[in-house]
Amino acid sequence: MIVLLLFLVPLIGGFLSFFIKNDKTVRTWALLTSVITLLISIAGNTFAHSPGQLHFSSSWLGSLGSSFSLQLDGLSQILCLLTAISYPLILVSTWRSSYKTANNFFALMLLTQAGLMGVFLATDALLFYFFWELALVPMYFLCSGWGGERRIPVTFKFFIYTFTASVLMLIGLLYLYFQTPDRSFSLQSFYALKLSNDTQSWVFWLLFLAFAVKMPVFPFHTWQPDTYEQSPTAATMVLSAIMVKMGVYGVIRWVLPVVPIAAYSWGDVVMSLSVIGIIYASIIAIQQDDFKRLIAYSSIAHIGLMSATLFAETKIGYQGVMVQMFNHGINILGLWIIVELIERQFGTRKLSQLGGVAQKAPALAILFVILAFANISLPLTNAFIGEFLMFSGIWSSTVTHYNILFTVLAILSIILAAVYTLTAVQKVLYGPESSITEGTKDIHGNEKMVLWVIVIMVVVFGVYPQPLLRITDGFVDLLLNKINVAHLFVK
Amino acid sequence: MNALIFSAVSGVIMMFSSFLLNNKNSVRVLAHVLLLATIIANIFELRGISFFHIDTRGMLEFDRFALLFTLVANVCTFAFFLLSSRDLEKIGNHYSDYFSLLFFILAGIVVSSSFKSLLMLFLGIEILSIPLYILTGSDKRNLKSNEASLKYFLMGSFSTGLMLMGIALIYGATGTFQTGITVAEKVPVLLITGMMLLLFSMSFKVSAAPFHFWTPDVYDGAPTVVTSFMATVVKAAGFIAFMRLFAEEFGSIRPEWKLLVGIVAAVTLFIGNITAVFQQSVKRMLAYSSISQAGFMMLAIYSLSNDAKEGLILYAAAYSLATIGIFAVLVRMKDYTFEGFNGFAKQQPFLAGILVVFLLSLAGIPLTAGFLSKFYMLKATIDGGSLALAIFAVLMAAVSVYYYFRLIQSMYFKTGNATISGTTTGFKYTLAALAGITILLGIFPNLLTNWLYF
Amino acid sequence: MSGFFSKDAILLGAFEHDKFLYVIGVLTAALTAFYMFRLLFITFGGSFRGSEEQRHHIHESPAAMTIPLIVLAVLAIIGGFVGVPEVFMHGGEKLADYLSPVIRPVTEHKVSHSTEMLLMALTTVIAIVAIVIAWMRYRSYKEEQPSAFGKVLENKWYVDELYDSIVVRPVNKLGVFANKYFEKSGIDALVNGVGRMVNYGGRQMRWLQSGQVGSYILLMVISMLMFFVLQFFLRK
Repeated sequence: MIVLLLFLVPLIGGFLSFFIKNDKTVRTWALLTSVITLLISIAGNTFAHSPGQLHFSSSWLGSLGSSFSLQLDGLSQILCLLTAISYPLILVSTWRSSYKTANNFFALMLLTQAGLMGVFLATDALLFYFFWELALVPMYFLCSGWGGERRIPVTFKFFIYTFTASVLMLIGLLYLYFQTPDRSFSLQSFYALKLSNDTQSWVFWLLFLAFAVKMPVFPFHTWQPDTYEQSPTAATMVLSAIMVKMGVYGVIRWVLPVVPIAAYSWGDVVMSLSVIGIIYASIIAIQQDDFKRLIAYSSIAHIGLMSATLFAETKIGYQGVMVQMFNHGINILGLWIIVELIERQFGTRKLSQLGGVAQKAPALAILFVILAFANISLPLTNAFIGEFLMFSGIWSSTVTHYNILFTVLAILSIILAAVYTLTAVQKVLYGPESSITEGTKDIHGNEKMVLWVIVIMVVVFGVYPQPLLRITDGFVDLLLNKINVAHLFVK
Repeated sequence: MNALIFSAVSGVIMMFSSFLLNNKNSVRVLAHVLLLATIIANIFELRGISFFHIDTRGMLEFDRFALLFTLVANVCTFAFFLLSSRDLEKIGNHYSDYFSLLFFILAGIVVSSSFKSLLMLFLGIEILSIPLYILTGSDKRNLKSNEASLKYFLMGSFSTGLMLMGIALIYGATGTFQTGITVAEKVPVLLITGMMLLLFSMSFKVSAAPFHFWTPDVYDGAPTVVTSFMATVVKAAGFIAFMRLFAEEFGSIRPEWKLLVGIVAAVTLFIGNITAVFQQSVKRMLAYSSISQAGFMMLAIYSLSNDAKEGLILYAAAYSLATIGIFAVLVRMKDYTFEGFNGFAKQQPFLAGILVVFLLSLAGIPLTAGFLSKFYMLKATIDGGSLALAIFAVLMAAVSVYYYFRLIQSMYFKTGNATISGTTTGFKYTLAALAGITILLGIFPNLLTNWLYF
Repeated sequence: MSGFFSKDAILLGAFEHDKFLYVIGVLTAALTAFYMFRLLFITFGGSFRGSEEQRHHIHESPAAMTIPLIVLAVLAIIGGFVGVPEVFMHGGEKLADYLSPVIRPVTEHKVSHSTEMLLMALTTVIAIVAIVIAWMRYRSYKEEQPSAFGKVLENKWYVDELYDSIVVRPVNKLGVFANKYFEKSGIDALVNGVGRMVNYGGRQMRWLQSGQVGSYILLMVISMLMFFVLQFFLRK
């Protein structure tokens, strides 16, 4: 039941939002809906452990071999929790942004959330595809409707790019469907498949492409910086904090256990691309003057590390990915809030035009610096846990011969991250005041509260990550089990 | 049989109604009532109750597939009546004649979707085509309309000739007009040639490339209301006939034509989608979109499975509903170009929202009937053994997103003065109902496809 | 002093291991002594070099600073006694005992106690000499132009510059290159190119639609012929 509510509450809340014309009311309504979702999600993570709560299945499209089945396991739990936590934070932190036709804006936001929840919960391939698009379409409207100057072409590119990749994924899923003995789209039937090596290879690429574009993995990333830059901040937050995780999630759920042999044989290629992407994006991030673009490229680098780790196929690495999916979402949310605050106050995101903010806005400065540290994954921040586990995961990988090379290159990203992040910190907070930053005011109210919540999470999960690890521990074992069986089969 | 008799009689009644009723409104109401009666009669037959028992000597067979499609076609026509009958009256003075022609087309649709003999196929296609030639030219004082009508007629006759030639060759090879031939080991060349000629002429009727050249010109030139009907119900009927012909007559020589049909499908998808990208007028874009959608429907003929049958019915419904809806709005627009829709969402948020549903359906986004019908087609294609064709089709579907979403962009994200006139509350609710059906079928396609079996 | 014993322990270790390292260590210790006392003499000794205004403001540091300083000073003195070498006090190496679970304790010294004493004395003497030199040179310090070598030292051996030219600038250049050529006119242009190609195709395809019935029928006949050729001659 919980699992159904996780999806239904934002869906219904979203639809109702269309009809609430009053600006204030619709904001409150959206916040209320997201808080309820959060409570449900927490309930799902803590005490509701009976299978009846965590599974839901109902017949739907039976003639097509598909059913409406949702499941909340370790992987879903951590991502649903991320989605559920992010939304109230996003809504509160952008409380003061004004939107034309606010009812549509918040309705689309909530519909996106419903889609995201669905993606993380679905255990039926066709249903998964439905949700995949359900998350994408409202997002397109959000970005295109409320975004920046060049929003129309930029978000259109984003949409077509991801849509193209996702229809190819549909073909891949359909093909798998025809291979199942009972003609079914259910995840279990997919897991039971034993495909030949060649078939696995191209099914792998059909599926992986959609996820690679979504994450994005180098060289499929070019939609991302533009889209982040042009979207309204609330949408960017959803995109970067949660939506990119759809890609990572998709690989874990729908690629690795379904076509393990292909994942093994193409692992080196994907890891190389990811590692190239990490360094490439980090180097480009150093060049960026637009704060949003800087974070966008930084995000590509972070996600690249995750995608590399996915194919290292080690327990410690997977645990790192799980933790980092959550932590990256939280951290980048904080960074976007900082960007939003800066942009709202000074009307610019250009780093070169800012400076000397720390003196007059000490609270902003402290919070920003902590988040920057988290972005560099310094110890005691949550990102350190995740990235450290991932580095060890790649290092100890047995499926690739280049594990050490990959690790060394990937670790370079931390140094590069320090370069661009600290440069940004320095340019914004320190140095001489520019004409724009003369009348700097410190932050207060909602944003401050949200940032503190985020910073507390950063530190708490940096010191005590066990709750997150515990959620996913069982799942990681199961996953490795599914992948490893195939390895025996290869040898 | 019910639908055939009812629509034929209705056509005759409508023809004479202009003498008896001199009020436009009553003519229109009469047409609605007659069509509703046809629909009800059709449902009765689908439930096994036939009002007439006429011996057709095995030349027509009203199986569930034919009946269900007739129902879909009639319901779509009804939606078309509800939305566009007032616009039909604006074309010229002979409004009752237009209704009667539409009823004759419906009669032709029944014949061509339930034929058992090649003669009936020919008859049905001609009954369906000739009123269309007239309707295309019904805007007498408009030069473009006249030109379109003449072009359509000239090229239509060309394809009719091909069809007759094909039927004659098949008769020569098999000695019968009845469908359901069985062939020996070696397929006679005469039969193959006949089959190919029929393939060409049917491709022409459903505007599949490379026999689609008439489509953009005729759709563009014809009065917009007529285009709306022609591009949807009539085209879908053509596909049903196409499918029936290839399933029953040429089902046994499938290896001979599978490649050809696959090529036609791929070329149609390619030309339809790529050319639509560059169009500046929404009407012309929809003309090309109808070609690209035809490419998808060709996939059903390519694979000829149960999925393909269900899918084709669903496709016919999804595509017709969405296109009729978009055309109904387009007729009322002052400016047919994409720019003409700029700022539409601001002035007509309700209509714009509904148009978005239709466009999403045409683009094949999940939760709309358009997605599931495309899904059925892809499924059938992969099942039919061609993964490459399916991949090509989805790539082309991704291209189609480009031009459908351009309209969405114009409506929502660009500012301008879209002007629309004559939108009544009833019109809006009818459109909303169509959008509702589109979404409903997108979630529960069984509501429709189950009729094939139960 | 804590620094004495700890440094001495390190030096001793170095002496056991490698004499060269030991010499370097001693030299460093001497330099340390030199610069620390230079700091001391320049700051607190000599005449005041600031303006009168600044002179007026000199005062003893507040308690918040003094007290921690005192505590640290005391710790610096007594801290040394956690690791007194065996030479002075048997069982005095409390620290080594404390760390033994982590670091394998060196059970046997290769050096005799007398050598150890000698080394200690040597170090002390060298340090004192360095302090004396520092006192001689800096007791009455005047600002002066640095010598050539002094300039190298002032610029920290130019290591920053070295980094700048072999790491920072290449990375920056690479970034500019990647951003400008690889990202914008490479990958992104490729992605946009696909879109542009479709658009271009659409524009060209339009010309097929000439509006002439004759050419339409011609095209249809040609394609029919092609189909016939395919069916009867090409297909196996």
